[in-house]
Amino acid sequence: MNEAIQLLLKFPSLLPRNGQLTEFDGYLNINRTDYEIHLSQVNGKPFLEINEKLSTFRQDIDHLSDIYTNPLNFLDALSETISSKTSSAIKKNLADFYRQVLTEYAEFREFYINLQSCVITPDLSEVSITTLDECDRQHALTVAIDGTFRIARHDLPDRDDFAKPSASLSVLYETFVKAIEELQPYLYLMDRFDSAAWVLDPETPKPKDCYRRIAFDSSISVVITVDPWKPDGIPSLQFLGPERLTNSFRSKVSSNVENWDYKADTFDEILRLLEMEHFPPKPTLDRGEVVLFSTGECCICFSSRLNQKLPEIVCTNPSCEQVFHVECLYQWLVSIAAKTRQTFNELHGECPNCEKHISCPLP
Amino acid sequence: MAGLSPSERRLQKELMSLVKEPPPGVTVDSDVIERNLLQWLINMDGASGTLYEGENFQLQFKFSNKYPFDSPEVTFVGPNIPVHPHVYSNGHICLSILTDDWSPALSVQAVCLSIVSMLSSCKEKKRPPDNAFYVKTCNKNPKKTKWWYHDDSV
Repeated sequence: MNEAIQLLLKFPSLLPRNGQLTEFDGYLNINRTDYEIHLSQVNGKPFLEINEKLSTFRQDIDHLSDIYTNPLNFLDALSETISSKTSSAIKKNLADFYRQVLTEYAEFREFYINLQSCVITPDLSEVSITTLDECDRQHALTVAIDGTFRIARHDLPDRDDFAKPSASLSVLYETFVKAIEELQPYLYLMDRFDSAAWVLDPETPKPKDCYRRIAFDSSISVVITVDPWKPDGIPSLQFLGPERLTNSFRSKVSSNVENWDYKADTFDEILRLLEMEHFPPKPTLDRGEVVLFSTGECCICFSSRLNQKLPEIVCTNPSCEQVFHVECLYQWLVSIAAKTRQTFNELHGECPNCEKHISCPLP
Repeated sequence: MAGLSPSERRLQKELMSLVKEPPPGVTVDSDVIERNLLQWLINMDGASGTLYEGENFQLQFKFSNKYPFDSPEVTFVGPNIPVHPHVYSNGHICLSILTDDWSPALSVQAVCLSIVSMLSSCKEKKRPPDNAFYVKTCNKNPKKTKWWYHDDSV
């Protein structure tokens, strides 16, 4: 107890999480940087959750938690280590380099006057740029500065040449703008899906997301995956739902696919492939009713999204047709191992709902 | 509901649905449960027209963090334990869906309904034949008991 109080006195920006003073939340301030920490104890050793900022010190943390069982000594040693490592990093940064970055940045700002926004971080480590394309879609680009300029984050589908660092900010930006131009037909196609279809997934589509899961009704949907760099090609269509319904769509697609017209509008061509006039609209939700689990929700975890994924497995029994996440069904079938068999990469067992045969791929 | 585990999310959802549309005779105090999602207290009225008409029971549900892959631990608690051939005087219930026949597609609601129907179909109020012996020797947790499901009629 006494030690815990010493710890709180020494690190006043930590707060205890429980009455036994074994868990703490808060910040370590080292070399003017705040490190968010969550300290607890596992097997009598101090345990620190590794977050983004701490990840560079992962090895030190593992090492120190082996040496120091006392949380106070552990935090002392850790702050010393972080302090010595970060101060040497600061020394490496040279004034010359900063001057060069600032010149480059200033020239860039002067040359591209139609940027929507352009901000450099106070420590000159990142430039964030947003720009509008010809259809007023906003695109964001973050350039990391570490000796050279390098695209750190962007919202477009990936391409090999994005990874190449450059000595010039303008060159990098040109690559980005050219990619946006090339992607216009793709972005237009995706926008049409989003406005004219009942899109289940992604929940909030980003330019990066080159697929749409489109529902026809509550039980059947199709995942349309488009090649962003060749959107006029035939997209991949994967039907999800009870087999008796998906089979008819599959046969329609395979008979119509030979008449695919590369010159025509891709959206219309996809509709023609499916023999549809238009995609069914999204039904308006009746918010008043709380049902335990509705169609489209996994009948094990009672939700539709688990780790961003939607349920993919459908019970083949026509009077059941419940849906499951691969992870949920797998975990259940494994937990009743006595009733489950494995063949190659599939598990076979009983459907949790109707007890008829169900199979599940290994996740 | 961010930050909840899938298991907590499911319990949260079950609670909401049980409060909004409870099976007949079943009530829950959601404020109490929200403080600890892993232990629920459910009030159950004996259905009218059955041997338990006018009686009130309390059911306790305990969930592990493996729920719904792991079945809940369900016992009768409180002053009034129903006298029933499948309910021991310590509150333990001999019901196959609570152990061997548990499925994650079942829910608190489904378990409540099963218990209501188990009580309702009873024709004679009596304790299980091995009650005295079982209550003396059993584990506190009914899931540790290797049950014999002898009789499906009640």
